[in-house]
Amino acid sequence: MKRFTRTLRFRLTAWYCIALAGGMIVFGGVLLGMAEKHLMTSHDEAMSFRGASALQILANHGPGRDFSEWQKQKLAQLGKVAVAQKIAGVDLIVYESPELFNASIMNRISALPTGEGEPNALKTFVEKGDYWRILIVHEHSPTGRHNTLWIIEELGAVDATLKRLRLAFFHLVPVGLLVSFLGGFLLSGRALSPIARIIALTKEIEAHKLDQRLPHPGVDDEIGQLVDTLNWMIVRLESSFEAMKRFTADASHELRSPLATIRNTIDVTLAKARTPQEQETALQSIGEEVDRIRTLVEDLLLLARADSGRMVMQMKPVCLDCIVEAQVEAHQSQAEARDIHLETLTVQPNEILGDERWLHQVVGNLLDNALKFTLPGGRVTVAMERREDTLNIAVSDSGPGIPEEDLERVFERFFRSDPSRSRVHVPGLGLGLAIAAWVVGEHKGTIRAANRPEGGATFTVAFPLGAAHG
Amino acid sequence: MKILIVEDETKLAHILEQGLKENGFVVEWAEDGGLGLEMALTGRFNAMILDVMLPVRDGFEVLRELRKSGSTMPVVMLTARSNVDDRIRGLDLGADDYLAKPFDFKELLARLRAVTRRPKDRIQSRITVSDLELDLWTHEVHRAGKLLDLGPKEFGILEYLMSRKGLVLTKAMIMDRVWPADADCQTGSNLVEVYINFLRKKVDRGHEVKLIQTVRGSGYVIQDQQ
Repeated sequence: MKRFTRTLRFRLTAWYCIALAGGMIVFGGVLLGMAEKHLMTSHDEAMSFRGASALQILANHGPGRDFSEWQKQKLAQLGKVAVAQKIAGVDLIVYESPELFNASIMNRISALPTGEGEPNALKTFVEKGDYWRILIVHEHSPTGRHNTLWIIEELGAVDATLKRLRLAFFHLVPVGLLVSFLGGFLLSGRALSPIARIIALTKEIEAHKLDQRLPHPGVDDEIGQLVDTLNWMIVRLESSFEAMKRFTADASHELRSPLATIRNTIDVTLAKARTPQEQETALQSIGEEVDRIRTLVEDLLLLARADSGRMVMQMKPVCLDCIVEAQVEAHQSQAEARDIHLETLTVQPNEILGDERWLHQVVGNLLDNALKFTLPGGRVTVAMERREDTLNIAVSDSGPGIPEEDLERVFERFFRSDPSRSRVHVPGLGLGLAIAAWVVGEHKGTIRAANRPEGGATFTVAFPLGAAHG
Repeated sequence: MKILIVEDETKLAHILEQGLKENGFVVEWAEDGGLGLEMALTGRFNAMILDVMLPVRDGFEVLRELRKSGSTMPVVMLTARSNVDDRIRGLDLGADDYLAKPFDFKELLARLRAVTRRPKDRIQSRITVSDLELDLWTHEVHRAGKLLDLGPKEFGILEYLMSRKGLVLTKAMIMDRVWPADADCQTGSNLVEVYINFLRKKVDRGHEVKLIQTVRGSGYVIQDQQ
């Protein structure tokens, strides 16, 4: 029950009913008031007409009870009428309709003031539950005679009528509310049914069914917009899910290859007695593959921690040219081993605000990458350049360059150009560029890959100078 | 026996070359798919070890071209991806076996021997090992003239072992062959051992000569006992 009362459908219906009840109460109140007023005053117009007639009839009437037959006849046609005359300072009822004989209301009427100067008035009296409406007309004849005419209408049991009306109202309101609650519940159910359908369909779309979409209702109303929004969310979920799956597959692929080499080196070496030299070669080979795995595991761990936001940069003013020089020197032996000419072209003393450790990694990774793609006899250069608002480091190689369509994608994790199209063999592409891109992003900088017209690729990192002297 | 290795992981290729040579094979190595296909098409090789991820032309492409040329050379595919789709794709394209990295050298050797000795043209309906007879058509198995009651998995394993008489089959090979749909859960499962035990009870119990033998650390073999 509690769950039911929490549904939007129930709440909508409840609010609707509360509003309806409020409306009904106001409406009922006004209606009752109007009915009461109508019951009290419905005879007023006829009564004033009767008053005017009575005046005419009595126009030439002298004092006392002497009424002509004509007058009596006419007055009798006017319904309940009473006439009083002030004679010698005493009010005397000189005429009353036969219906009024012994009517209790006469006591009240006779007690009414009849004094000169009293205005004509309409009054309502309640006598033993009966309502009486009385029009009081004062007549001053030119002769100084003073007549008071009472035009009387019995309204009857107004109270009982109003009571019945109220009773009917209080019975009908709950019934009306119940009917409108049920109707409202049905209607809101119909209005909300597309939402219920969306809920059911969305529940069905699980992690392994993310290629499914919710059917659009065809109308661009609130429901249509909801469906669009949900579908858009599913698209994003799907793509991040795909990226995660690809990442896992790529990571396992990169780990499986060196493991296969290690396993087989061990198997083959152990298969028979080996000379110390053969053993050394095998162990060296295994060592290199272990290093490859270790680097990969470290990089994976680093990116995982970066993703979870647990990696915080220690921003301090650092000497960027010192980092570049140090990294070039550190890569010199690796370059020489492969007969690659590695040199720095232009270096100016420059400080930026950054994390020294991570900046080392950026420059180191770019150099690793450049050396990896450069064939023996090639050339790798590093240049620093100060632009208007950025400080740039450009690492250029004389390798085969990057296919145009892949320039943006080389910073993706485990990005690998379609291996069947690349003509060069690259040992296990890793995460170096992805890590570099992440670090540069943390420094609010940009990283870009481009092909040089003379061949080879250039990776340019630009650090904003705004932060440099901050 | 001449083997072609097409593998771009230099170190892995070298150690496989060394290992295979020491096991009596003649080995040549191609570093990319283009060269690999060229060499394979010469028809000089008895079998090929083919990596999937290769520069120039990937392993699937090489295999497709090779089969298109009409070559029936046995091919064992290597891949660092273990997903079933890749395996099915490889086998559909005509690979004879499929091995996921990282693999043991012994495993590769066993599979290489199996594919190079696979009876290709000869269709026999009856295989015999000593006094054990298996009929491929009726699925009936007799030991010393007595009919054995084998389940489908047991029959599958026995048929595989008998058709490769004298050849050591690894657990993974049996798993791949008899439970191909669940190939991904092969590691850590002792399903093969359990079924070999069932099979032994039915085939060898009560007989002087035990036909199904365990090769420690490698797998199982069935052969004529003198």
